[in-house]
Amino acid sequence: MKVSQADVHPNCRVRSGFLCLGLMVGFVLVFCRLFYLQVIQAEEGARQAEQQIQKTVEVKPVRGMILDRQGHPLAMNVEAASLGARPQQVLDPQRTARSLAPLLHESTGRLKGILTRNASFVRVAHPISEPIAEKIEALKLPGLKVEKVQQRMYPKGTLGSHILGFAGSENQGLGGIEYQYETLLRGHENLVQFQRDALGRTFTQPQGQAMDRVPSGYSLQLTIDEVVQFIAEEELAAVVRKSEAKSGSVVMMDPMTGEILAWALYPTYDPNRYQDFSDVERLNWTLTNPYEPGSTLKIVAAAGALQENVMTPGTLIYGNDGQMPIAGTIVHDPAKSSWMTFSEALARSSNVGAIKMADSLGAQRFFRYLKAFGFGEKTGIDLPGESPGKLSDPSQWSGRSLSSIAMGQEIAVTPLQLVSAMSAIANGGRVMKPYIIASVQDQHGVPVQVNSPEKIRDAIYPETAIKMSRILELVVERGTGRQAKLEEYRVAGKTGTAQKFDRDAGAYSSSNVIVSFLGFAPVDEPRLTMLVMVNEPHVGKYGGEIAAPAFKKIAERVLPYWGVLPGGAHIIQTASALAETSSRTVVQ
Amino acid sequence: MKKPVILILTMLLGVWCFIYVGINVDMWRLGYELEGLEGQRAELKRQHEALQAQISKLMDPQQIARRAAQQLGFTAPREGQVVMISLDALPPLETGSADPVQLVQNFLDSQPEVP
Repeated sequence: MKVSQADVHPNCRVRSGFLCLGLMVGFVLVFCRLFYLQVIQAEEGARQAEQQIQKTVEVKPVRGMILDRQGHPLAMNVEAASLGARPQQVLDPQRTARSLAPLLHESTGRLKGILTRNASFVRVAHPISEPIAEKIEALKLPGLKVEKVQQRMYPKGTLGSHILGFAGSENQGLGGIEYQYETLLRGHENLVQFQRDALGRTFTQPQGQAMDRVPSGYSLQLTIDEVVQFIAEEELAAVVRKSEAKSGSVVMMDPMTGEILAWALYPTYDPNRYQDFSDVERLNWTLTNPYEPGSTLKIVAAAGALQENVMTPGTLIYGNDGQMPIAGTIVHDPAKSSWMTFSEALARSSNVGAIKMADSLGAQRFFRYLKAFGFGEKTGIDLPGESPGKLSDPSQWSGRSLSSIAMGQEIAVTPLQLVSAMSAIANGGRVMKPYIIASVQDQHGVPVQVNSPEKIRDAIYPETAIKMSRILELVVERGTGRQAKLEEYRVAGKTGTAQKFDRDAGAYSSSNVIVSFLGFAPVDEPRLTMLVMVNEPHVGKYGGEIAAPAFKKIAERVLPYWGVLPGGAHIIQTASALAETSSRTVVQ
Repeated sequence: MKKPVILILTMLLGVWCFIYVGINVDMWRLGYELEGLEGQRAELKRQHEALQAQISKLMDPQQIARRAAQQLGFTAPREGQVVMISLDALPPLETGSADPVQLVQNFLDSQPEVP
């Protein structure tokens, strides 16, 4: 049934009209408000909403790892528990300290001192083991907080510690590679946004861009092989102990590329407990403290004399019966000799011979060769604190300087400079830039930078290098370096016994010496150049009897490890395995 | 004619709203799920790192050498115990191969059956 307009009471019509008008006005207002919020104030509204649900926090990056050339971690990170406290919130410091003391193996007094410090936050103990952390949490002591933090860990302990360096309690690099590559290893802080609902629960916006919440620094892959490093350290420790020396070092380099293969120092230290060692013990002194090398430097005068054709390997040199007056002093030779060839002079490590080689060159040319081989300047290795050594200009030389430098005195060099110079002789005359970082990798292990061999300069011609190699092989075959001789490989090298300068006495000490052997092997296809240096030995006195055998022991373990066999073969078998294999092969 | 069209349009709008709201609710649910999985991933990564650290410690050449010597009684080979074979020194085998060491290598690689 349809109701006509006439049947509706006029008041009702007016009321319904007002109601419709009111509703319409209401809708219009709501629409206007919505339009204002959604269109005009859209950006501001979105910003406010984001502020309410989003929280931005700064995430510290995970420090990059340091790996050996095979990819084995030498420095990495582990999560460790750390106990902190807010002193203002610790209600009873005495009671809290007494409760913690047996768990942390600390005195109550010391802990109370930490808990009553005038600071907003103090670190009580770091790191603490997981069970201890759980026990402390169970105590529910007010003001204490157990946190999980990233801690630097060196899984191989003392291995390569002087090269790796160490990172401090805040994971900042404080020495060695850790310090040198701090920026790369540390990475950058990341601002990470979390979404939170009204209950404070975090959630991820599925349409959001995927990202790593915890950023990571770059990892570094070294040229060092942990097994070779271990062999070098083990043999070095053995020779230092045997000779009752003060310290020692081994630096091993690939002469063809300049890659550092091992760098060992003794005594060593554990970077996991770096606080227990002094700065001096942690210092890579072979890089920072140059020394007078003694006879190992004679290779420069010899190479220069051959290169300049002022002498040949067969040139006869008069030995002055083992003594030679120089600027008012007498230089002695270990063995008296009248005439000797150039090669014999080097094989016998004759001081008189070396002086005559340098004399034949003259000061300027000799200086030029010293510079050409890299002495008196940094090698440019990517490690902190490298010393350039000390080599003064010929204009400042005294009447004795030429002779002294020819014998390895009045000049200070680093072991790395010596290894670099010997590598130039091994590789045909090229001075290569030593490097220890093979590549820089991102957190997924993808190399972002790969270092490659870099020639600094040519020091001598390849023909001269070959002549020098043969002469240095003679040093090992029949000269002072006989104890470095390997049965299976051809070895070339030079011994060195340098008297240390006694500042108090103002003269060279007769008892304190640095003995060394600098060599490379195999001669026909050099794979390693190595310096073994032993500081202040008390049993034995010469490089040939202390350092040369150590060179031999390291080389005879390392070369087979690399699969290097005489004649270029690449298989090694023990005697028993060989017998077994041979018989089986015959049966087959 | 107009009424069914409006009805259909209203129904379609309703369905669209229902789907739109459903998708959004599902996305929020997935967001929470993702967050949970992210937490699991972080925990697994932490465990992985701890295990990697343990492996690295166990593979420390110093530790291996110490254990080999102390627990197994291994010693470094004495002089003469390890024989180095030069390729030139080996006589040619009767098998017809020109390179005896190559044969040795093949043998080691393939491990053939020995009668």
